[in-house]
Amino acid sequence: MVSSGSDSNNSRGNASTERRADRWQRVHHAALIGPLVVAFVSHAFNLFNYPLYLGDEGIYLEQAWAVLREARLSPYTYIYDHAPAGWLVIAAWTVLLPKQFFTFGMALNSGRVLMLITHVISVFLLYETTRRLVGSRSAGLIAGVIFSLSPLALFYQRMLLLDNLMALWVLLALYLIVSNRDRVVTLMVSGLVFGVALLTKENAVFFSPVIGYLLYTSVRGKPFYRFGLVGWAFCAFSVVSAYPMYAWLKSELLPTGSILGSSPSEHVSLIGTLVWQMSRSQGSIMDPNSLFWAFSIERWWPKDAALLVAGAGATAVNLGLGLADRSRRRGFLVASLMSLAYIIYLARGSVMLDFYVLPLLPFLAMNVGILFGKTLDALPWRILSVTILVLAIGIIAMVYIQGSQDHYTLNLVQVQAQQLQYIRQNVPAKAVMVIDDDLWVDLHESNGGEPVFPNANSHWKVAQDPAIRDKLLHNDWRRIDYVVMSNKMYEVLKQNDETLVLEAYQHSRPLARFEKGDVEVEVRQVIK
Amino acid sequence: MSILILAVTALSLAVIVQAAYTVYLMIYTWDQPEAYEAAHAPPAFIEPRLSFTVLLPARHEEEVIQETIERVIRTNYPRELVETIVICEAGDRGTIAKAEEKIASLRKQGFNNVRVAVFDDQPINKPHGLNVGFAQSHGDVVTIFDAEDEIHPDILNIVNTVMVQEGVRVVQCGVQLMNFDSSWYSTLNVLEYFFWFKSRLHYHARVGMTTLGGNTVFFTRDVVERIGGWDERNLTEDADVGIRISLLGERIRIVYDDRYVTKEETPPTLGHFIRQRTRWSQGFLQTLKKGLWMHMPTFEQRLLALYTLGFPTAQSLLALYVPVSVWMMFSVKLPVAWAMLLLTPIYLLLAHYVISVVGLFEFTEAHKLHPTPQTIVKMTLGYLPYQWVLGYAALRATVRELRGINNWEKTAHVGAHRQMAQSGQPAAAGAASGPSEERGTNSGRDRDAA
Repeated sequence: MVSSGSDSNNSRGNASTERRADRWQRVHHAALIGPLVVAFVSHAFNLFNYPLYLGDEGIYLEQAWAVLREARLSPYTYIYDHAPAGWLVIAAWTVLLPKQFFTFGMALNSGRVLMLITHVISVFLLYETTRRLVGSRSAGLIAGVIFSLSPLALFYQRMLLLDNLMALWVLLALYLIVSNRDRVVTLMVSGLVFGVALLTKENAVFFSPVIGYLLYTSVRGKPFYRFGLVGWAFCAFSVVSAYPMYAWLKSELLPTGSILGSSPSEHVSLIGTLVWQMSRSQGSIMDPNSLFWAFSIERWWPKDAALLVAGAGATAVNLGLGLADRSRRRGFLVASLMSLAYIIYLARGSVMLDFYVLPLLPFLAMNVGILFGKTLDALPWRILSVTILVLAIGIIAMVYIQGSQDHYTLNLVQVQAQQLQYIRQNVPAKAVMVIDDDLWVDLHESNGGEPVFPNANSHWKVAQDPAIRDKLLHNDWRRIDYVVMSNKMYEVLKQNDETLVLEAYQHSRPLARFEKGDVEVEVRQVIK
Repeated sequence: MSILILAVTALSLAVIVQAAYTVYLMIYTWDQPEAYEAAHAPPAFIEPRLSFTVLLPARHEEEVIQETIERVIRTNYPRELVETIVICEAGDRGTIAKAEEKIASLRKQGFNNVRVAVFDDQPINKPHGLNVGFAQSHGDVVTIFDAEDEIHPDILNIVNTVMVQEGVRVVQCGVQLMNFDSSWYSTLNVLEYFFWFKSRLHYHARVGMTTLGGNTVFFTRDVVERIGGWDERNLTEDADVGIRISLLGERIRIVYDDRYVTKEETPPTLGHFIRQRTRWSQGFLQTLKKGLWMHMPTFEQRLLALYTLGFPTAQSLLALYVPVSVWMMFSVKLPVAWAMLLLTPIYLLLAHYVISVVGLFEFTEAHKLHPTPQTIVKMTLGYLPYQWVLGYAALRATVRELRGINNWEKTAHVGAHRQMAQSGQPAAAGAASGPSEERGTNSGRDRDAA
């Protein structure tokens, strides 16, 4: 149903063909509004109530808070666990808001609004990139709708996660290449954007060979190809190099004790963290007990088995079609390789959290969209293909909305709101608290007349950061007054063997407990 | 100390803007393919209609003047439509004798339209010579070639076609240094020309503020008459003429086509190179001081004029900036974000370098030459020193201008590019097939001759 204009040779019908093409053009433009509205409504509705605030969301927000309030990258010792572009963006976004962190109620809501905007833009980019890659609007439409409504996508995309921002930058970098009209500057901007993607989340690097391939095939044979390729790479390199440059300026590039490790005292280091990250493994795809399979079966499969199966299948088919004719079906090849590259990252076996699946989802949707859309385009009658398209989108939407009712109806966040309310009313401002990161900014940022809790520290830091554990708390649980438990935090404490926090927990009694379904949070006082 | 830090920060911001602009102008033509397309030579030539006067100002050019005359009269254009005037100062007996000798032998072959014009009054410089030559000329179109120029045989056909078909009265055609592999600074010098003529001039033409080149530039008689000829007190009369023509609102057509460029050589020694640069920088400063550019109608034109004419001075700032910022990074403890801002100009310098390397491949491909890995190593090692040399020349120019020294330090021409052409292979071919002995001999000869 793309504007192929195949009948324009008929001179008698030229005028009417043009009129018809014009009309279709308008219909097509209107067609983009659909996915954008779906994207907005599906993500905005009940956004502040579901899902539960995740600790990781809190970490990124508190680091953005540190950027704004303390001019540093983390309120704790910055250990180079992630590059900072993500929370620099969050900080910039927060500056724009009239009441900053508290513009939308609890602090994390401001981050979730940013995710809503991120998602709507991502849908636009996914639609346009898909359309331009294979020349099919139907493909873009289907990809966009799946990407917005899949319960798996919806669940994680509402959360303030670096992966969502990284996916946005990757899509933008792709879009700039496929929409480029022979400009070197556009390609340079694409390189800059991809650099930002890498500094948002390093695993974007797995996409780089595919983007490189797309770039190369789109400039090959053009007069500016050298400047295009080199310009893209130089810009990406410049942005990325700012990170080691930052570490170097802080004398934190090389590990303590290495030949060139400049500072003699114990310190964190970028290279040290990188080496450590590379060496961590939690089992590859070959190992049935690995996290890849654990997450696939426990977390991802129940949310949207259809997308996983259809996405993997479409990826395989598109890969075959693309390889069979690389010049005419380059779009198929690029889409399938994008998805395959990230699957390889997930499956290769390293430390992984369940939401790491996020950057894969737009590309699964893209592959399904391409396969389905191009099949429809091949049907002989436009009316037939449009009918099937509308029906298919209707069915997808119905099934998905059925499958994600919690997202639109449930209010889980209320237990966290009640917990915060309780702390503000009952805990003295100077109390030493161990908390999870979900409430961190709510407790540290001053909000009108509400009390501020400067001694509320993340349990991760209490367990691991020498500045908190040894210097502040002298490794003594008696110095802790309260333990604020988020949902299932006890399992996390046990799993990571956070001794100091566990000791405090064992010597504490519950003051208040808030429950909803199987979600349970507590405020506990340490009895000394 | 804090005043120093603020000064360096301000300098850093200025350098960032300046360097980003420079870098963009280098890739302008590749970023705006239609601008480049529009600058191509016409695909077919029309019947010769215009008559040309070729002005050949020459001073101490005994070595090359005969061959230059030969090249001009052998262009693919009807001989009755081409008048050639070699312009010499009366004291330059060597060049005059060589030119007369050549003219006599040409007469025997039936070429009667070449002559020598001699002047004996002050100042002894190129603009004066041009005014003298112009006063004796008869062609519809006046053009200038330098004695060392290797011009394309079809250059007059191109200009005839463009002027007649498009109704333009000023045409600047491409000039290109060719001996990219003959000294440590020649690669970067060649690339400066390449980026200037292939890319940047198209931007100037679009904005309507073009500092013209010194040769392969064509004017109809009336344009030269309207602007009153060349400014004899200006060391870069070509840039000045360009500004005055731009002020008239006259459209300047740039023709750049790799096939038809006028080929030149880099100055033979570093000393010559510095003197040439000093002259350019000082001439630009003179043109800047003259202030005509301030009367340009649009802000963009004035900005571009200010930027272009002040660029050599800005260049010296950049050359100074690098050591200062490196020193600051090691000796002054600054907040990290601030330190990174101070580092940004170094990224742009790096971008400038990377673009130059890409340019080397574009240049050599366009002229069917071959860069060797050594070329790139040489250019890499020479990159910063080259910037410092430019900075030094700009400082020198500023000092000379302030002290009122205004003599013309001429660049020697020895025909290095012609030796390349005569050997049948470009210099790089020799370098690719073997050690640099042959080229070493060549450049040794160059130096002797200089």
